Amino acid sequence: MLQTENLSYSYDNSEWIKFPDIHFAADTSHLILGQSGTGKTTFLHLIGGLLESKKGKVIVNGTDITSLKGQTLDKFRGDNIGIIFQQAHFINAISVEENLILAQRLAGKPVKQEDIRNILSILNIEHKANANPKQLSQGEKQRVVIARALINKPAVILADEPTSALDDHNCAEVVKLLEQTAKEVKATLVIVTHDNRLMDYFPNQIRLS
Amino acid sequence: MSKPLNLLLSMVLFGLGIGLINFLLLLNHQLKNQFDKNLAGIDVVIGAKGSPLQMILCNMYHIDNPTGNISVKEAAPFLNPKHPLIEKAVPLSLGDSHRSYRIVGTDHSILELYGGQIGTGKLWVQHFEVTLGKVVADELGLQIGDRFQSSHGFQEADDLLHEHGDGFLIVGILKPTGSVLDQLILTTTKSIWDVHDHEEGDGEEHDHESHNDHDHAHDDHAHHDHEHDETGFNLVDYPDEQITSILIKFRNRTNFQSLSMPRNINQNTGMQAASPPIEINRLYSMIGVGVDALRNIALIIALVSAFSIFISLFSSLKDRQYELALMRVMGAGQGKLFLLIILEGIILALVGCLLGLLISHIGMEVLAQYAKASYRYSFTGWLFLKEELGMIIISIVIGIIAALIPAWRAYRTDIHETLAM
Repeated sequence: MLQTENLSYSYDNSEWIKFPDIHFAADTSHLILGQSGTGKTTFLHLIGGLLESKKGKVIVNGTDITSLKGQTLDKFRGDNIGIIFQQAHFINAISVEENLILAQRLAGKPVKQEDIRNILSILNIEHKANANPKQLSQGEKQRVVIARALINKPAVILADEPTSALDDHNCAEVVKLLEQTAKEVKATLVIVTHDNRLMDYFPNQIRLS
Repeated sequence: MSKPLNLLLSMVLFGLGIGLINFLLLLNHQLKNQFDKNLAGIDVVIGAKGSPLQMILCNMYHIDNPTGNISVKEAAPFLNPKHPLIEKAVPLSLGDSHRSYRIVGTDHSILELYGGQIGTGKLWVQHFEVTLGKVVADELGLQIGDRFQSSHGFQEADDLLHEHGDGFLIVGILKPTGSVLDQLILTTTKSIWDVHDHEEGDGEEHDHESHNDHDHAHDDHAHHDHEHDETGFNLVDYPDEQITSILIKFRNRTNFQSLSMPRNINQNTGMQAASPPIEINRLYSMIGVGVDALRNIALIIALVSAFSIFISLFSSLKDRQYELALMRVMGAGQGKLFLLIILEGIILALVGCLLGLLISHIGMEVLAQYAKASYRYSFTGWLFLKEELGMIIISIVIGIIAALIPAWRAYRTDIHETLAM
C-alpha cells in the first residue's frame, strides 16, 4: 500500500514541482505517465526514499518513510520497496545468485535459497544462476533486475521506464513478468514511463505535467 | 572487485616498499651480529704498519689481506706470558688457504677467544696437523684423515698450490661457534713457515727472508728431513721468522698503561697497533652513510606506495559508484559502505606488507648465498625480527588512513544523483 501527501520537490529552492497525492492499494498496478522533464524519475525516487523529501510525506504500508533516516531508511527500503531502474546495475564481481543473496542480506533478512531458485525459475533464468551479470543478454539482465527487486517480497514495486528500450514483443513480455511477479507477492506495482504502449495494459493512470 | 589490476599494482608497490625497508633492517641486524660476535673481547691487534682497518678486518674477521708481516723478534715482548698488562696474546700467521678457506698458523689459545671446542677428533699438535672449523668441514665435505695441499693467497688457483710432502692432515673438527672460527683451518705456526721454505719464485706479497738458523736443506724438494715431531715448539726461539699479527687481551682494560699501549707501539716500534672497537665503529660510520641514504629512499618508496593505495581506492570509487548506490538501495546503510572501503584499504596494505616481508626474506637468503661464496660468512634469510610485527601493524594503520577519504566519499554517495543517470 502506497500513499503520498502534499509531496513537492525543488532542486534549487526556487522552482518547486508539485506532485499529485496518490493512494494505491495492495495488489494493484498503476502507471505514472508524462513527457521527459516532468519529474517522473524525481517522483519515483521520492516514493522510493532514494531522495530526501523536503516537503510532504510518503507512506509505505503504514510507515512514513520521510521520517526515517540513514540505516533505518535503507533497511526499510530493502525490505519493503523493490526498485527496478532504467539501467540494469549489478555487483559485477559476483554471480547472479550471489547478487540476490546480497539483496536478502542487506535487507536484514535470512538467506533463503528456495526463494532465489523460485523467482529465477518464474523468470526463466534459473540456468543463469551462477553466471556473471556481465555475461547476460539485455533481456536476461532485465529479468535479473526484476528478480532482485522482488526477492524480498516487497510491499511496493517501483519500475522506472522498464520498457522504453524494448521492441513491442519484448515489451509485452516484460509487462507480463511484472504483473505476474507483482501478483505473486501481492505488491503495489507502480510503473513510471513515457512509453504509451503500456497504457493498453494498465488502466490505472496518472499523468504528470 | 571486477577490475582488480589497479588495486593489485598499488598493493605490489606497497609491498616492495615494505620489503626494501625490512631487507635493510635484516641486513643491518645480521651484520651487527656477525661483527659483534667476532670482536671476541680482543682489545688490541698488533701487526705490520698500514691501514689499521685493513689489519682488523684481516686478522679478526678474515676478510681482506694482511698489511704485511712482523718479525718474531719485534713481537716477542708481547708474547711473554708474564707481561704485566697482557692476559692473552695469540699469534697468527696468515697468507695461505685451501679452496678459499683460510689457513691460520697459531696456537691453541685462539680457541679461548671464540669459545671453540673440539667436536670430533683432536686439536692440532704436530706440525702439518690441522683442525677445521665446522663450516669448513661441512662446506668442503672434509673428514678426519683427509689430506690436502695448501694454496698461496686466498683464492683457489692451481698454479699457486704449495706442494709439501703429503700436505696437511686433518685430525679434528671443531664444534660450531657461530663466529669466524668456524671458517678457519687451524694449524701450527711452524707448518706455515715450512710450507713457504719450499717456495721458489714467490709473488711480491710474500716477503719471507732467509732463515739462517733453519736446519733444513733448501734446494732439494725430494730431501725430506724435516723433523715434524717438534712438540716443544716455542715461537720466541725463532726471532728471525715472521708472523702476521698478535691478538691481545688485556688483564685490565681500564688501566692507563693498557690504554696507551697502542700509541706507544705506533710511535716507538716498527709495528702497528689498532683497537678493534675504534676501527669497527669507524667502519660503521662509513657504511652508515650509505645505509641511511638507502633507508631514506626506502621510506620514500613506502610513502609513495601508500599514496598509490589511496589513489587506487579513490579512482575505483568512480567505477563502482552504481554498485555502491545499488547497495544502499538494497539496504546497506552508509556506515556499511564506509567500512567496506576501509576494509579494502586494510586488506591491500596487509597483503602488500606480507608480500613485502616475504620478498625481503627471500632477498636476504639470496644475499646469504652470495655472501657465503664471497666472504664465507653465514647470513640467513630465515631470521625474523620483532620489528616485522610492528611493520604489519603500521601497514594496517596506513591502509586505514589511505582509505579514509575514499571511504568518506562512499559514505556520502547520493543515491538519487547516481541512479538517475
